[in-house]
Parts: sequence; structure tokens; C-alpha cells
Amino acid sequence: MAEGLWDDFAEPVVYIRYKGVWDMQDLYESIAEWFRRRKYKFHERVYKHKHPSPFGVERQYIWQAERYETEYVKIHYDIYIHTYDAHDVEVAMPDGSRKTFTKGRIWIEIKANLVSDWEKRFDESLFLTHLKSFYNKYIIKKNFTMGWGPKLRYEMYDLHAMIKRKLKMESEEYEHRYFSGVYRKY
Amino acid sequence: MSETRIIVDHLRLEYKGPLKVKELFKLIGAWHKEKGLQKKEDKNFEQDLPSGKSIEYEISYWKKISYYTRYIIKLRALFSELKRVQLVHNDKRITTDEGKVLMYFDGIIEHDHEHRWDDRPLFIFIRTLYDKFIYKAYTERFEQRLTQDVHDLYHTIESFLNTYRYWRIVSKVPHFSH
Repeated sequence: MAEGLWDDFAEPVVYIRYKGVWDMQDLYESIAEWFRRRKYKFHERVYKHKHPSPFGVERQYIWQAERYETEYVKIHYDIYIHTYDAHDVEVAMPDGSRKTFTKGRIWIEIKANLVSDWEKRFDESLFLTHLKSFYNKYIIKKNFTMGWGPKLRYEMYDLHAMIKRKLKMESEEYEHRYFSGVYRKY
Repeated sequence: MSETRIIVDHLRLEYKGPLKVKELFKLIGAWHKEKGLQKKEDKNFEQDLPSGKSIEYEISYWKKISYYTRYIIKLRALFSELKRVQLVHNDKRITTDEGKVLMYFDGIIEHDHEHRWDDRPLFIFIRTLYDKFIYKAYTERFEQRLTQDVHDLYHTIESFLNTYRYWRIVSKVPHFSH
């Protein structure tokens, strides 16, 4: 990107690292369901199952999700999950039933960003690129900083909190869990 | 680059004893919501170890005070040896966590966060003059506000942890008292 041109809005990456026991099937389904409920297109780009070591299995997942907000702006998510030393353990539930969970280590990265001009209409010439930059910087800037930006942030932390809840982490609480409004412009 | 200045540097809070970790996170979340701050979670690491749970949690709360200034409150919390224990509170047995907590609070003020004045050396010079002499009263006021907010968070957490002072662990209490 040339100097002075508009850079699309991106939230800082959030990470989760957890060591313990979790329900991988439930986690997998919950993330897909979370995106589906919010009308995202969800893609599993990579699923890697590495040769098991004596400590357990190593798996990598790369997921992407996107939603077109308007004909000019879209929200894009990149999720990276890496499990290390994972092996199945049988857990007795409080009701007496038995379930298979995963024990090991998990690393999760969530990246969320806004993409303006996703149809690439303004990429055809340098003039149009500058025009797009001017439009984003001066005409619809507040829509980014006060509209789509916070919406993206709250949504991303909602997903983050949901993952923590599924992993049964101590910091699962999300203060904006019931954040809603009657009328939402963005 | 924008200019960042550390106003509160490594304010430290240490605690050892019973506490409800989930309640503590809830309290911190409620505090930031009440203050209208935005958050950026830098780290959230949790490990189940034989000695107990270990948590490393780092979060930055930020707020744009003006188009030019924003302040950042950084909280780093380290929990170690967290275990579930039974306690006596108001003559009743309850289960809660026990462990060590170490927290660091930082208050950082960031000027020119939109990078409008950092393209050329002359601009940076003008910006510095503006901050130190012309806009000085406002800059100091923002700093005081930030200091007050960091201390408010510190005292909120401190008073929350103090409520556990009179909770007694079952193994250390005579059997007839519960």
C-alpha cells in the first residue's frame, strides 16, 4: 500500500492458550454454529493431522468466515487452531454417562478485519485507488470508527468469550454478552 | 509513530488466599463496561498443572479522550497454584478457589494516535511544542484522569480481595464451628 493511502480496519489478534481437558467436538460445532447463526459463510481451509508423537496427536485447523455487510464493506475472520499432545480421555459426567473428551494443549488465534471495496471496483487505476482512500478517510470514516469497527470488536470478543466458555476457562465472563439494541444501523 | 508516555508504571497488587476467580474476572469486566472503555485482550493463557491451575492474563483497556489523545490501562494478572477448597463463611461450607495472585497495572497515555502529525520531522517538532506548552493544561488533566482511573481499578480489585479475608479454610477450622 502506498504511503498515505487508507489501510483497512483490523482488530488486534486475540489469542487463547489452554492446557487441560476439553470437548473438541463441541468446540468445533459451536464455532461453526456461531458463524452460521450470524449469517457468515464459513470455510474450513486447512485440516492437518500430523503423525502422532508419543505424547499425542498434533492437529491444525485453519478456518475462514466472511459476511457482506454492504456492497462496499465485508467482515472477514481468520481462525487458526493448533492442538498439541492431544489424546482422547473418557470422562464421567455428573449424570453418570461417559463422554470422550480431548486432553492436551490448544492454541487459538482469532483475526478479524473489515474489507472495504471487496468487489475491487476501485483497484482499476491509481486515480480510483486514491478516490477510495479519500472516500474512506474523509467521507465514511465515522462509519468505520463508530459503526462497523465497534461492531466487529464486540462480535469478535463474543466469539472469544464463547470459545473460553467451551474450554471452561476461568476468564469466560463477557461483560457485553447481552449487548443488544432495538435498532442497529450497522 | 504516535507518542506514548507511561504515567502509572507497574502498580503492583499481590494476594494469597481464597478467592473466586470467575467473580474477579466478572468484576474487572463490569468495571470496564461501567467506565465505557474498549478492550484488547493481549494474552489469555490457562494451564491445568499438578500444582494447580496457572493463568496468565493480560488485557489493555483503552479510550479515546479526544481525536488526539487516548489512554490505555494495562492489566497483567498472574494466577498460580489455584485449587478448589472448602471454606467456612457465615457458618456455612462453600467451595471456592485458593491460590496466589499477582497483578500489575500500567497507565499509558498515547498522543496523536491517528498518526496525523508524524509524517515529517517538522510536524513531530510542532506536535511536541503543542503538547508541552500550548496544550499543557489539557495534557496534565488527561494524565490525572488516567491516574485516577488506574487507581480506581486497583482499589476496586483490592477491596474485592479484602472481602475474602474472613473466610476460613475448612481444614484450619475446628469441626464444631461449621
